[in-house]
Amino acid sequence: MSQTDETPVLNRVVTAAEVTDFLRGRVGRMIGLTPDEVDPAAPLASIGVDSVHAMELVAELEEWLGTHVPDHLAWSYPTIALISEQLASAESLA
Amino acid sequence: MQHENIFGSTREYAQTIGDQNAIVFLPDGPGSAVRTELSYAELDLRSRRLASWLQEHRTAGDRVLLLYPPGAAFVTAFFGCLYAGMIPVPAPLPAGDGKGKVDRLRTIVTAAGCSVLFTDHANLADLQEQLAELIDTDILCAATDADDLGDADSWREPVIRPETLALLQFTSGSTSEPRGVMVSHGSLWHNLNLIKQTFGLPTGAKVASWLPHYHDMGLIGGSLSSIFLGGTLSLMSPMSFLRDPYRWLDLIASEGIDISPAPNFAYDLCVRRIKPAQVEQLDLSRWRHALNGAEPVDPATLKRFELHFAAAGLKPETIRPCYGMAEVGLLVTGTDENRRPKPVRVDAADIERRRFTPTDDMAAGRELISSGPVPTGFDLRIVDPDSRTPLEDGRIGEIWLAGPSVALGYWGKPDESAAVFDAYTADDEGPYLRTGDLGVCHDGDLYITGRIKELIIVNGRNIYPQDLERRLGLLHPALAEGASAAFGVPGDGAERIIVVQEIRTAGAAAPTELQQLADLVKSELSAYAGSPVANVCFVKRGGVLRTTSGKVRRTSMRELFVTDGLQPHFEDLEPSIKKLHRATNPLEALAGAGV
Repeated sequence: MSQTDETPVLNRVVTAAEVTDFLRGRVGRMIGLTPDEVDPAAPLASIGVDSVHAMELVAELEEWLGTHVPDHLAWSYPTIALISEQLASAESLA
Repeated sequence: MQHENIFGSTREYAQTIGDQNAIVFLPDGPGSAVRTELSYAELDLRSRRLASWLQEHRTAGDRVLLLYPPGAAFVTAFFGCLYAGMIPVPAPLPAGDGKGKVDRLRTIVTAAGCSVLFTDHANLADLQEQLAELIDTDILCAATDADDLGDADSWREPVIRPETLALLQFTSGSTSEPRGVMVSHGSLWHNLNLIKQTFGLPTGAKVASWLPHYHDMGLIGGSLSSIFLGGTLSLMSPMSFLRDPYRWLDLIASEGIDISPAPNFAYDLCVRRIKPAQVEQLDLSRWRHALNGAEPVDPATLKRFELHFAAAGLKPETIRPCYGMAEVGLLVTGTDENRRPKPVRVDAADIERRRFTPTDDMAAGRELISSGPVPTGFDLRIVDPDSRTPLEDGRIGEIWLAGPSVALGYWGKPDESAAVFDAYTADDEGPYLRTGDLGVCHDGDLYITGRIKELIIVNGRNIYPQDLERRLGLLHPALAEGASAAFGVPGDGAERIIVVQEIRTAGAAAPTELQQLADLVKSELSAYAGSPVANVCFVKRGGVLRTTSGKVRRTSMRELFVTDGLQPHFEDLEPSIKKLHRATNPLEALAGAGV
């Protein structure tokens, strides 16, 4: 795929904890668990999030953050914890 | 028309409609790719150039591996092979980690005996590096997208007969059992005609596709159908669709697309992701053929889609369930212009016992939807798969097919080809193709009721259980000792993968140890399969059933699982699977489970 996907530049500051809460809610709804039951350290695919759902997460993150999020975020950072960490540090990396 | 193959018809279009676009590839989004257009004359010219280069280096009948990102370059390379009289082998660009990537590349290179690899400049160096790790390979690698290979004037027209191979269609990225369907020019031509007739497609039809270009539905149902009809093909990348499904329907609306195929999951995704305000901006009234195939068709999906997009002017008769497989090119049957898919409510428990019992009982009933009329392009028989006795209408059995669309067999696999492509009924009629699918002819229509082959289909993608089982044994010593079985079961809208693994100490081990092992299996197998493997059962030794010759009985294991007869020591299941398959009332569970 395109190599132009860089770490996104966020136009709002989010903490890893906020991203984690957001994602646990969204993933929980997708797979039928409460947010508390979603393990942020589990690989997303291992809890039933397929590539179709992963792209849905990317789109939902974009809408929530108001910025471009790369296609491959959920592959490059395959757990909620890793995605959260990456997005929270995005500003300092940009 | 004098020609009877896609090469001849493309040559003719280059003369008659040379300036018309054969392909328009649309960018993913702002700034991420360039819109490219390719006319029939350009397609012809570039194909002749590539063909002359191939003819200079290789001989007719050689296999050419095509590894491309989505786009027009793939289609040009495909036709370059046909123009050279060589056999294109489309495959996905290998993804994932280094080792897995090389394995997949090795598998297909070896299985098809490819002596040329075509790709684009962006991927050439990486692929060459990986190929260098494969021993005993003498493969010419070239990037074709710069259009600087070959000289059109030195091209020699190939000799193409009906039995000449047109392509090898690999139906999955399986590393343990790669099977390349040998599609001849004659069978491809017949199937393209069948697609045209079934749906009443006009010459010059407008076709749109976001499907993977190497997938049979993307290749034959998208690219080749469009070029066969002298139409213009609007291509999008699969990722572009998944990211924003609105783009697909917007393309259909704005370009006035006649026909666009997709697997069942895509229609659900559109309903889930496209908001009512967006629906109002769409005009889908000109869309005539929303083909739904490549995985089981869920009647509930059709209803949701019809309802959700009614405001966009979508006509109910646009939605057309289809049935097909790579072994016949693509299409077996599809819902034609003059009929609606016919739902029938049948007894859910009886379906599992292969009995077709129409019922009015909403609680015990399950709705099936017809895939189209009993096809006229084939001699179709419903056959008892064990006794090989043909069954009358209204009985469920394996679908057997004969006819000019049927492919020649699997490349380099004479035994498997004979078993699948050369079957005879108990009264010695044949040869027939055994589809491995269960179905019933009812009231003139074909209904698919299940599957006896052990293939798993997730979001239109084929996954072979053998690959998962082999991988499982390598993950941990405790998993290497016992047998395992992988199979698919109906989930909430999509098929889900279940693995059952024997563990010697399953009864004695602490639950936390088993959970850790299950977590390992889920993470590693999901990454390996590229699809979620989120359901794991551990059973005691002997819990995985086998035949007397030691082959794993996956279908029986699947039956045990869905009837709650598995009795595992430990199971870790997704909520949706628990709900569907662990409900207290088994009839309720079956009623909810679309096959």
